Amino acid sequence: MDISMAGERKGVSREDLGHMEETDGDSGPLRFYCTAGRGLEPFLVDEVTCVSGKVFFSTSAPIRAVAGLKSAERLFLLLEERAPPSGDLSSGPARRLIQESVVTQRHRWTHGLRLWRRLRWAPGEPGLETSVAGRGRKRKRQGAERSERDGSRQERDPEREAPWVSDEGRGPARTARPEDGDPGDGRLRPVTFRVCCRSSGAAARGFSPQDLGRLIGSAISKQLCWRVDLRTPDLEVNVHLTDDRWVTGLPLLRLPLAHRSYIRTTGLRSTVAWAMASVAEIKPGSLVLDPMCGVGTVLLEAAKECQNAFFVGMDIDASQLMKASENIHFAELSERIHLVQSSVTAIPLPPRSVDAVVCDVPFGRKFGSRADAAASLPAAVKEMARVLRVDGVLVLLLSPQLSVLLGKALGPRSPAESLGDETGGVPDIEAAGGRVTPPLSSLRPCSSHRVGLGATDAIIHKYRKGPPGAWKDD
Amino acid sequence: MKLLTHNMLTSHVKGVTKGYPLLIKATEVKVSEVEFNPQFVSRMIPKLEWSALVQAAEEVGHLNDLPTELLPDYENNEEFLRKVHRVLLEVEVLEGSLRCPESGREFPISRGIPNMLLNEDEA
Repeated sequence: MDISMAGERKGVSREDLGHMEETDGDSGPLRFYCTAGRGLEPFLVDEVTCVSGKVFFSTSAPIRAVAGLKSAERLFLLLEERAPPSGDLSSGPARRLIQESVVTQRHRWTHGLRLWRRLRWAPGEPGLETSVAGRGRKRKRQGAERSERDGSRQERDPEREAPWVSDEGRGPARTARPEDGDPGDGRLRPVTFRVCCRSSGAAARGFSPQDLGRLIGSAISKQLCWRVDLRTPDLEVNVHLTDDRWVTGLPLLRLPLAHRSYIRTTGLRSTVAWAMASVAEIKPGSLVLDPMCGVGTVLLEAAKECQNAFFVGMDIDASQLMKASENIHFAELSERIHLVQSSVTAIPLPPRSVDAVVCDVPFGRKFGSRADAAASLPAAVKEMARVLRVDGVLVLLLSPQLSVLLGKALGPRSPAESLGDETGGVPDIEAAGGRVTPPLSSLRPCSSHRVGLGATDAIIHKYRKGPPGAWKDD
Repeated sequence: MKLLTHNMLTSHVKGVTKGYPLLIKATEVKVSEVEFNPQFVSRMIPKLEWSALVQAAEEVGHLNDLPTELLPDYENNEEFLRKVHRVLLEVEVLEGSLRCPESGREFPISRGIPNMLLNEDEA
């Protein structure tokens, strides 16, 4: 497998390797890009470039392997990519420029189409269904008319050679190529598409979305002889124009990568859950605890990734645990994820018994009022630190406000503390205002990542438990 | 509740110094077939309190021929690992209770999930 990754455990697991061959003979590795949630780009594959919200990479691995990426949102086959041109985009010359830059890497478009067709007719796999806006294998003949929804028109030239020619009522196709034939219904017909275009910055100022869509759509039709169908196209061409980059891609899969076929009821975004688990240093034989597991999203992502580790989920709410139990059975992970009902402020485990604690801390709602959160959060983290073994890792997902709260509770650190006072000397608790409780001060911050959760942000914090000090920690 | 989980659970009733091991009273036990993964079982064994496991297995009536002492060189002993696998992962207490050996407090097990929540005065 050829995907290069930041950190070996991230990304594709061996179980996801498929047996489909994706080489297109002469084309070699295919170029893809994935969209990523805010802050998750570093967790994704890092081949060459990373533009805000996207990560680009090349690989010869089969699609099934690429589809196994866990911190990505959507996967696209890269068709075109360029820096936006400078200057005013609303002018006439700019229109021509845009039309000319729509299809420049023709081989990528034809290879992309071939790949899509091959995927489409592969035996169905959950989550791997190809991006097909229409449904069903029996296709009515697509009319050459385009819906007049946006008032645009399309030039039709019946004499033009199309890649596939429908043979309905017209005898054998002139340019029929058997290997491109559509095995589903035995007829050949032109591939249909529509353009999904998003723009911001200069491109958005210069053109209306409909205008752009028409411009790009007609350029594609002219160059590749694909036909436009706004309602039920075969393919959707995805164009994203920002001031950073102009990117065109082909979504290959019907469902986003972020969708998990093995999770029934979602809680936290799976991509963020996976990212949290990926920094927890879970090894074979690890015992991992989520003391506020909710419906179990973090545990599910972690357990899917680490096959030989054992996971315990705890929550105070029985109805959440029922949903978690359902999720676990649905994902067929019930031998490795076990559930207990308990409060995070009194975890029913002995001290230093757990290798890692991973927890998405509810942002205020479960705690009740903000005042409750302020009181409960340090107590919760103290318990998590207590059950964590020395050198164990604690990964918390906190809102920005709770992050500040926890920072205060952990107290200022003297250099001796941060470096790990091996002699077990007692730090200056008076200097810290007397608020630092021993188990909390055993936590050393390692890293933090700010990530987007839709409308809000959160921060993934990683801590490591230091060696025992001069105080008891239970 | 599987016995692997039980092996770790501790009572934290206020004042209790050793709330372990919790005594099992099972009213409904289920045995299911779980795929045997010897590496996983080998890795779990060092984390176990062996005598507590033996006691728990006996309490739920599935001790069978599980050795009362941990065998040396168990990593390569497939027959032994299979016995451990059965007791750790295939036996499940669906209904019953866990009793703190020190305080006598009972924690119910319902639909396979033990409820370890403490009341305000016990925490």
